Amino acid sequence: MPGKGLADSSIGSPALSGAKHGARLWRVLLLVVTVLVGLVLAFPLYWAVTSALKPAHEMRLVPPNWWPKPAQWHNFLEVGQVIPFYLFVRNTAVITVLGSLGGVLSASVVGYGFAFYRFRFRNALFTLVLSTMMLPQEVTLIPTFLIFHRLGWVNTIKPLVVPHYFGGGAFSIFLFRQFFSSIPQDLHDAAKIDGCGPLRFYARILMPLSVPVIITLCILYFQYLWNDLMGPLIYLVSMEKYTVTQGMLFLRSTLTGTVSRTGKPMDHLLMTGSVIAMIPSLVIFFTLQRYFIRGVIMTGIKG
Amino acid sequence: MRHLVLFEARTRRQSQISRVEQRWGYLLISPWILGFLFFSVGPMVASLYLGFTNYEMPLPPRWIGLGNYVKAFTTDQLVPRSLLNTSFMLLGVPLGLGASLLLALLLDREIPGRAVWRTVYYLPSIVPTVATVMLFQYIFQPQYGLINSLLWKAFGIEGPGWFNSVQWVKPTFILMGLWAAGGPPMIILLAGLQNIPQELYEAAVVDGAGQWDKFANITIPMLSPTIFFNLIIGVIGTFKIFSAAYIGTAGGPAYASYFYVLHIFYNAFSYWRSGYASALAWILFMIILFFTLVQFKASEAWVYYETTTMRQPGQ
Repeated sequence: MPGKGLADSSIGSPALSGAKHGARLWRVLLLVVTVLVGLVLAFPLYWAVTSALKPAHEMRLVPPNWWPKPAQWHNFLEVGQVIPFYLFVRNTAVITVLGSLGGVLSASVVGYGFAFYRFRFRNALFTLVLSTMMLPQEVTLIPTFLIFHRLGWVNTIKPLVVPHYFGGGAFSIFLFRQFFSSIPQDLHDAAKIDGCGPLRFYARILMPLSVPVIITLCILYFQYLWNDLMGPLIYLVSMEKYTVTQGMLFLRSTLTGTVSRTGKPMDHLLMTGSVIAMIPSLVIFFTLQRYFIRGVIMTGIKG
Repeated sequence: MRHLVLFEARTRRQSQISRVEQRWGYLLISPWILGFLFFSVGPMVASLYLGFTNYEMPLPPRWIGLGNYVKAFTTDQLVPRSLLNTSFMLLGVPLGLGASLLLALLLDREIPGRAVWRTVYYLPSIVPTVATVMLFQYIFQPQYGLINSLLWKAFGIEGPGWFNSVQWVKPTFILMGLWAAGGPPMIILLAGLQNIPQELYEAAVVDGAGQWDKFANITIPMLSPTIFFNLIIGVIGTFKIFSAAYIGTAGGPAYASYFYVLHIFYNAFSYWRSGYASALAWILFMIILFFTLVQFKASEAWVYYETTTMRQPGQ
């Protein structure tokens, strides 16, 4: 972009060497800015990780210690002793896995229907699918709660998981339908002639082809379910059902006023908890970065 | 035999659709149809109705007409309060988008380790909200937090109360939002930048255009659909702020960060005023719809669509 064109145009013309020099300086300057911005953005993460390993008395040092001495790996045990933090991690993992599974299964089946079968009102119904993207969840919140309350599902994970098995959300259906539409209808017809029923076609041919879409959607579901706060706040009442986000709030209220054996406030464990909460996100991001970026661009372009 | 019949139905594609195919179609989309009825349209109609009632849980709903809406627009001081707070947060949308664009421009060039920097810029946006809030509360802690102790040591300035200050709490939330500027919006803008045909810039250079001319007359117009899209997403997201505020301040201090969805939430699930909360939710729905429409209209005036060169990435 800017800079590149200038440098190219000045090659081989001694009269423009001044411009070439300026362009190079500009490029170095921008590189320096890129690196500095990167350091500024990375710093809070560095600070979270180092603080997570600090002993209680180092948390409030002014000026702070830039590196914990010594690193207290013990904090990761302690956070599980103060409250059942790792139980909360497990609870959230169960909700995330079951919810994502439901979303991927049902959205792919529905997308299959919209992509390969013709039926009356198909286009009208698909427009309806897309229009539900405009509906904020706050509008449906209270009646949905009343339904689950009536069913006796409050204080279970069902209200957080089961709805994902009913379509998996407009965007997922859209994504699967778009992807399936790129598969030639002839393949579907040929499979049929060879005696491959709809369910077998779905399981044996469509699903293996859709692995990239499935991974992309799993990432999006993970980000939603792992972070969700309002759902768990409404439906998960007893402490042993809490998710990580609720657990962090619980940890904070537990630590307020609590002191360690040395008489220091224990809020260093809040950073330990935060780091534990972000580890799954980081692991998924680093292993599946390609799909992550892909998912973002797809959501960004199509809405 | 059955397949042969199906095959024949296919060959007469336009004329009619086989009954079997129709039935399979409806069967396959049935999970969505059920979900649509029970989790979208049903609850939507129900909450519209509840909005016209007084409904406090054990007692049955009682029709009060526009009573809830009258209350929201007249006597409930927290409605204008929370809407004003939310509007203040709208400042964060152009700021965030500007920051995302700057980051995207930095990365849209041949630099050593570009993939690494892109990853570093992106990382803050994947940190769970609860971790981000706790981390920023620690860094911006007024007495011993990193920022204020550095301000004091280096410049002798007594830093503000950040999250604990009525004046500073909203700007601090905006600042926290800027940390994630390298996330999805930046990636989308970067994809938009990379889709701008190089020939446009080359032609502009031939015509003697400078850096700024190229930026203002090529980059911005070519990116405007992308910018516009992110603007809509940002405004709608701002009206729906909940988690960060609930975790960070629960609306405080002195209602300075009391945002609209907090008001819905507390009315619905702390005071159990289900009727009133439903009305509040419908007001939010109308606001979101209104902004979406206004921005669609406004965009027609300045958005530059070029369908032939704007290939969609990810296709």
